Amino acid sequence: MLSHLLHVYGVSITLRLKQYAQYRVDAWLQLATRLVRFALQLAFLGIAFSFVERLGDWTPWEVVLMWCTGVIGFYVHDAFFCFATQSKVLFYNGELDYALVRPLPVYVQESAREMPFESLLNLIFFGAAFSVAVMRLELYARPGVILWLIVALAASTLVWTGIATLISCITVWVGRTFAVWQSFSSLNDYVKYPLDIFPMPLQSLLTIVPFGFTTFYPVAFALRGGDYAWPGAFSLGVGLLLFGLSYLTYIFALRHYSSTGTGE
Amino acid sequence: MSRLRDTSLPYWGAVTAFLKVGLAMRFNFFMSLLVTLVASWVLVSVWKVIHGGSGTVQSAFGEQELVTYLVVAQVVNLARMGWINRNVVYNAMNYVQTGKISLDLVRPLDLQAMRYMEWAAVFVVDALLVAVPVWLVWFVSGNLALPASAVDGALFVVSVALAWFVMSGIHFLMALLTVWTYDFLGLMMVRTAIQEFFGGTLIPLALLPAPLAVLAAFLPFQAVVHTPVSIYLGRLHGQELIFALGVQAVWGIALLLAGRWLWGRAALRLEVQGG
Repeated sequence: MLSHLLHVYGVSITLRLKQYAQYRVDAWLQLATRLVRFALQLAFLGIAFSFVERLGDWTPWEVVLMWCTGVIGFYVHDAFFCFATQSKVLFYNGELDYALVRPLPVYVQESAREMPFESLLNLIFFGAAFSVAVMRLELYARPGVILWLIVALAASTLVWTGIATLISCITVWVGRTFAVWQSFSSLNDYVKYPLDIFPMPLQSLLTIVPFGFTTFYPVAFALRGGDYAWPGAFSLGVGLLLFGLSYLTYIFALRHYSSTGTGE
Repeated sequence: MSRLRDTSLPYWGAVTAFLKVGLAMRFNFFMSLLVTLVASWVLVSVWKVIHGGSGTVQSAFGEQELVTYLVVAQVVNLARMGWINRNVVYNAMNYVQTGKISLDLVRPLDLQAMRYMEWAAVFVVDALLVAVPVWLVWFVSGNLALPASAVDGALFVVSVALAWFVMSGIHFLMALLTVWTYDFLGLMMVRTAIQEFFGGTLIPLALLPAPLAVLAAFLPFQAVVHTPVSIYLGRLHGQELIFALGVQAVWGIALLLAGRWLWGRAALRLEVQGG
């Protein structure tokens, strides 16, 4: 069953990539625009670190590592689990029926149907920046840290997938949730900094709304260990908990889905 | 006189309609308000750390002045990633991409004027439901300075209105570019990134490295954020002040004319069945 699902997923994604290859001008334009945006985001950090050697207790490459971990998690979710984000449209318009009548899990079908090119490009850029940060921090010789960074990426992906799925599922009961998701996702760009430089209320806010578990806590634990043991070690647990909760909500939402659409 | 009234009446009708739509979608603005508050809080916290550790930054700004700069820059950030703001601009681009613009073409209104009116309505609602509340929260928290003087406060309002004029020109050009590119998401994202970087929203322009500061001075984005904020802080006086306001007006007119010219070209290439 799993190999069949993976086969269907692979075929769908291959078709999508072929489609991108056919629209070369669009692809080049997207590449250029995302590259400019990425360069400007890096430039901001570069300028900030031209004034200070460290942000709080953190070096430039450590901050880059935190930033990339959060962003990669976001774009892995967007590229490979896009149903989490897209399902709010399907719930809202009553279009989930098309997927429900097919003999495959809805989550897999719909996630395989789309693979935003923008997300792939961002994964390449931020993946490269992540690798450079690992090299510059000389972490490649520390397998324990590398392993924990992989766990950090998984935690980040699970947290973002969980948040996106939860927001999408709420559509079934409250109608439009587009603004909620757009607001959450736009904060992605502001949570790249080390949380411990923020005042306590802001730290608490970014811990309760669990952005801190996508960037700072798991990476800080990987790099510094003990000081950040509690929140860092539990990052994956927080991600799993949030994803599990969102999946239960998804099942509950499917039961309440009326096929008529919630909106117009 | 009555001819002017007859001509302008449909535009006011459009503005009123857009205002009503905006005000009806208060929840979206509420989310935008929350995001702007958190974003400004994060930026202020980061810059406070940088300010504390850098003599260069301290010599350019006092701490409260820097905080005021960053918050007011967020308040007047017309490239804000708020839902309505995004949605309205996306709509303008999407109409070109999908061919829905054909309906706009048969209306008895000038397309460019209608778009400017639409964005004026968004601007007013955004100011009432996002910008002013953000300013108030920061002011009540005691971190924000008032405008340097009553005159600076009044000129700040004039400058923000000119910033809307410039911003509408940028929006319109971006929407028209979709006729050639079809990809509007990338254009929007890169415009926002460039605008926030070179407009002074994330980094005060006084702190940009010299080559980038020169480049910023030749781009229209500084007229949207940097100029109103500088006036608010009382950093512009006399001829400098008049020049800055003049630059805003010139950018607004230049973008309006460029939009007019480009629309003439784009209309010939328009595929009303969509792309």
